[in-house]
Amino acid sequence: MEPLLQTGNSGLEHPANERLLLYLDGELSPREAGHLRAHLEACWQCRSSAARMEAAIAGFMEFESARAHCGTPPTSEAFRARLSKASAGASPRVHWSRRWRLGFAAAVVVTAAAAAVLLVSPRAVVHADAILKESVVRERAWQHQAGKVLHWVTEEDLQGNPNLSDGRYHTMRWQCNVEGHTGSLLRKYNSAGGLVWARWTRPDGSEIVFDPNKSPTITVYPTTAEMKDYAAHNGHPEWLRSEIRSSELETHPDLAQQEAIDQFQRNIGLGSVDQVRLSGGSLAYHIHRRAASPKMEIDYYISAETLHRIGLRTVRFGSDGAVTATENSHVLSYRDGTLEEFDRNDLRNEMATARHVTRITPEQLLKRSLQRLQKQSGASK
Amino acid sequence: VNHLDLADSIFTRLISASQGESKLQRRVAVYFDHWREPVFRYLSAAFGNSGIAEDITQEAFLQLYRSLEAGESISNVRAWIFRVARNMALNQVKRENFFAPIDETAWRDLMQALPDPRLDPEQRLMRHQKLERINAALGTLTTVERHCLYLRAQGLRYREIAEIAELTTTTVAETLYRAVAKLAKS
Repeated sequence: MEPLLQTGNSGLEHPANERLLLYLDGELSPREAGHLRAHLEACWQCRSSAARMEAAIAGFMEFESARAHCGTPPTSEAFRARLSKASAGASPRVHWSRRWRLGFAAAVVVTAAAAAVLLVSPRAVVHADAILKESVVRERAWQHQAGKVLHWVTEEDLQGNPNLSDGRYHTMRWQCNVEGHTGSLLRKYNSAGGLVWARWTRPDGSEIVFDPNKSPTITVYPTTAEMKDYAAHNGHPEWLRSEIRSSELETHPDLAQQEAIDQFQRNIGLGSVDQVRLSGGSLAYHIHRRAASPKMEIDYYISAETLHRIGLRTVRFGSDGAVTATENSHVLSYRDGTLEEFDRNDLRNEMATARHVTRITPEQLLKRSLQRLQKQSGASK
Repeated sequence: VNHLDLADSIFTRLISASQGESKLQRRVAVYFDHWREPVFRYLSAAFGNSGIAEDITQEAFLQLYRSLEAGESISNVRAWIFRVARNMALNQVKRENFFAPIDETAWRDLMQALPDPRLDPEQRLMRHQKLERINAALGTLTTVERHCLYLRAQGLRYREIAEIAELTTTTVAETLYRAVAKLAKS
């Protein structure tokens, strides 16, 4: 394992090689990338490390393009033939997730609020003021929520998962970006509604993992503070640094905000995101989506504060025109004129079925990481 | 894949509607045209069998059609299709011994097939030796390293890879670094 910081004759502190790869891959935040770029400009040693990585990647890609000569992907015609055969033989199926569909009336109140933001037809240009007004209303509503938490829930239906008897599962995510309450929860259910797996990241950075298929035990991972404390007494091994970094990223609102913008820019697919100052002086994000036809140009405006609070992960624009938004514990999905609403469950009830709790100390986490590394370096020899 | 191109071709397909195909069928066909190659490359490289990779590529897109038809909303079709294809392949691996790394005969065929008319014999030999070293290094990768590397090679971001392979983003970063480090040593 590479040491976190190597101090050479020059007295420069060098970033770990892993961070160089993150930098090369554009996975660092603009601020971090800026620091690293400045370091690379100053440091020949790191620049040659980066060049070695790039050369390895280039060699690999050369190998892959050579490999592309053996085997060809299926043709479009073959697939279309299969597709028309499949759709001719298929009887209409009831989507199993409709079990979650709730009464429309309950959704209307929220929808009316969400509609201004969400029901964007390809030709509509949404007025910025309307969106900002809407954002303020939403933010006020959130201030009255107990615990001031925001949620982000998605629903998926998959076939072909080898870990499940019928190959289907359903994922629910919960996300809160408010300081002091920041955390996330990821759960998977099988099609019968049973919990398959859960991971809970708490505001203190600790993680709770529950995998009832493997063990009835809940595993509790150390908090960020515990890991920092451990690191302070034991140097900063790279694995620990990255653990701390990832738990800070998940629980620190500022970092989460930057992450949300980056994430959103990656997810938006079409178009661009840029900051604008509106006539009233408030800061907003202007989201511009465009397609081949000018008719498909869409502009969204969203206040910086809203972006910060909802992290924009609560509103998702599907490439198929679907829009998914979340409000409290509800997820609203609008697509082809149909509104669906899902509700979330409480993990605590599920946790109650667990019989034991295993606590992982930083030392144990270190031991595991070392064992994993030894195993890997043993295997590669 | 350029998203503008994709939107463009969806648009074109919608205008020049061929008969007998539903709107959804056309949409899925457009997705197929754009992502069949990367999905196929990932499957055949990560699982090592192009025959089954070909079949699973088609199956995954058929599944996409069925899911969309059933009213599922899919926000990131690219990540979705990779994940479903991967799960299908994993299923296959369980049933039969699917994974087979490149064997010697296939390797020789591969080298024969390489068109490099501009290279003289010495350059060609050097290139072959280089590719051989890379092939050897790829052989030392763990299964997870191989999957992350090939997903990344198809242009997926770390978060997408994490979602597809059911790992944390941190693990993806560590794994990719180890894979690249192994390749760099070769």
